[in-house]
Amino acid sequence: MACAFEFYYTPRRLVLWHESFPTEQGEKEEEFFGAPLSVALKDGAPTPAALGFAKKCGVEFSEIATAMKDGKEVLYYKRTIAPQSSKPLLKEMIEQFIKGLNFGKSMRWGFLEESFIRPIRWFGCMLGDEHVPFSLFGVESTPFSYPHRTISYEPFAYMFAGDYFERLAQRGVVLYPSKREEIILNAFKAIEAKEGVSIEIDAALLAEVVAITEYPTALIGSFEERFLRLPPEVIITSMKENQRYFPVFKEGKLTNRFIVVSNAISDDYDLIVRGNEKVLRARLSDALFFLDNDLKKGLCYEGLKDITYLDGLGSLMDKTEREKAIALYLSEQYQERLIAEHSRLNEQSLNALMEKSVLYAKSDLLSEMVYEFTELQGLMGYYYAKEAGEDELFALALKEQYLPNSEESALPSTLFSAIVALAYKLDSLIALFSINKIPTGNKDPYALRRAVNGIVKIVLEQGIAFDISKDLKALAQGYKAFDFALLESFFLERMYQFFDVNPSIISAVISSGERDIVRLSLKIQALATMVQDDGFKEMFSTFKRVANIIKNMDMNQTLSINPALFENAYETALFDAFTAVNAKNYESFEAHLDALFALKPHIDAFFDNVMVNAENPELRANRQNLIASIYTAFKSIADIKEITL
Amino acid sequence: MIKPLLIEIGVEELPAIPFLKELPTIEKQWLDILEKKCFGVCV
Repeated sequence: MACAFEFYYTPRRLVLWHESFPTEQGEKEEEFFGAPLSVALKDGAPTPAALGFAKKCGVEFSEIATAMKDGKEVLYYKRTIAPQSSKPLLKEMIEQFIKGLNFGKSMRWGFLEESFIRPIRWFGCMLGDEHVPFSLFGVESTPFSYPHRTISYEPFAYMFAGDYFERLAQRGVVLYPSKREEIILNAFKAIEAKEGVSIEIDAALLAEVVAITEYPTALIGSFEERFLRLPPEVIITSMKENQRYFPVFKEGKLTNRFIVVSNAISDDYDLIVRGNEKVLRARLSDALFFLDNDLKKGLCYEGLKDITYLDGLGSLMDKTEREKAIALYLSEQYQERLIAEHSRLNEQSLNALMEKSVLYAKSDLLSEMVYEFTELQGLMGYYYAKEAGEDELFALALKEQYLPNSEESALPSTLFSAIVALAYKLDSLIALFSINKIPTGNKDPYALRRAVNGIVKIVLEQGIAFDISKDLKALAQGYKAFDFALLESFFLERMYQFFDVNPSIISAVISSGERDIVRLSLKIQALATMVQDDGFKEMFSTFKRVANIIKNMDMNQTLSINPALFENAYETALFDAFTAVNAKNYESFEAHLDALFALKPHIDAFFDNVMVNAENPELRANRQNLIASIYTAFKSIADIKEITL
Repeated sequence: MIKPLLIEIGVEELPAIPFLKELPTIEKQWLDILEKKCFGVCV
């Protein structure tokens, strides 16, 4: 099959390989649709529009047929294009391929108008043993390729398509990315066995190293032990981000060794190791210098007032003040549990520590280390707080304030840290809505969708009460007035992405008016579990009928039921069963839903034997109220009429 | 008739991160061109 192909890459070449490619393309049909007959013909003769259509198709009008399109008879022409030889088509295909790749930024070179991620230096195209000549991007295709840079800068020829692979391999290029990865991982294993260490394999870093090498060789180097005084994250970040080195551990502790994957082919790999050690030493010396300077200065937050957060939202100090107000609001809500978890704290000391934690939370942004390694924000605050002998809760809150910071990220480990993290995200969310910076379509430059996901994750993990309507509205009072309904619906919309269930279940629970995140989640899960049950669909039809019967009723009225008006045993039986269900307290929403769905036989019997829309208005209202009461009981969990199966 | 086809695009040091970001779509890009040019539809 023509489409079966392989794609290989190295930092210097992109290769497409078809083991079997047709020398001719397949037959191609082209269809043309023209004007409706009412426009195309006048008094039976073709109008200029019809003649123009025939000209466009390259035929006489007599060859034009008609076809039905969108309910109208229109002019139609179909032509079959004779297959063409593949060879002349390849230039256009390669050009389309290159131009279709979007790497974000691209560059121009020489005097060319075209651009690509990096300059294109050569093309090779071989169909069987035939070289396919063309010129693209100012480069003529040739039956030549280039070896690994260390081997030679001179091109080499290959005779036919398959010949390329063997000749390239002989010239120091491991073309297959999977093979390069295998070489690297095998080398890691050998180093681990020989040195008695373990190498931390970061999948993204490994992919990067595979992409930047044509002949990978893993080498182990070392740095002076004095650098181990740096926090391990600083060393690892410096190695990974700047140098693409892999950290080396022994018995779970970071060692003063590292792995570099070299692309060179050399007789003296020691020289390469020494060169890399020298570069890393300079990096780590800088980091140590930053650390010592930062420790000398200590954590201070005053400088935050000189850093603009966002136009219209003041400085980072202003943001900190807003976060402080949120944190104190939340701290008061969960005070009992906070004090129970940290018995050394009382109301006063808890508030003081919370206030201090938020005030200092962003202070490490002023440090030299975070200026250099921005990804260490929060973490450096933690280390500096620990060095200063600060409270562990305080230090941890600084470290965990940005969590969760990715899809798989850990969450804050204590409720105290969780509040600081919530304050950060809630302020970003409310503040940006207050200045109308609301995400639209797939544009979310301030990552507010991620902020909502983070809030939901933290609230669920901690199992704390947080009402999207009540609490969010109370917090929004501290901001410039804005349309709160937009924020609430933005928050609720995220629920559809957050829970992987039938969306109508989420709509049903939201329609019940529930706004507490934990209760929303429990209700959604309870209903989703029930809906998955095999017999649910049949059972559900009864309750859909309940919802349909009362759809025109005013549900705000008092639903009074008078048992004295019951005319038969089915009414009484349903009323008694429902009263019993309602009288109970349930330990879970599942149990409550089970009890409500267990009313099915009584409801079925009621519908089979009782005329709800009785002529007597008193009887009719009594029966409708009984059905409406059952619907309302369901609605305390979910609005069943929203559910579609 | 069928023959093996080799296409090599020689470039100057591809930067890894933007390249890896685009990598999952590269094969699809070529497949779409093959289909458009009637060189078979991949199932």
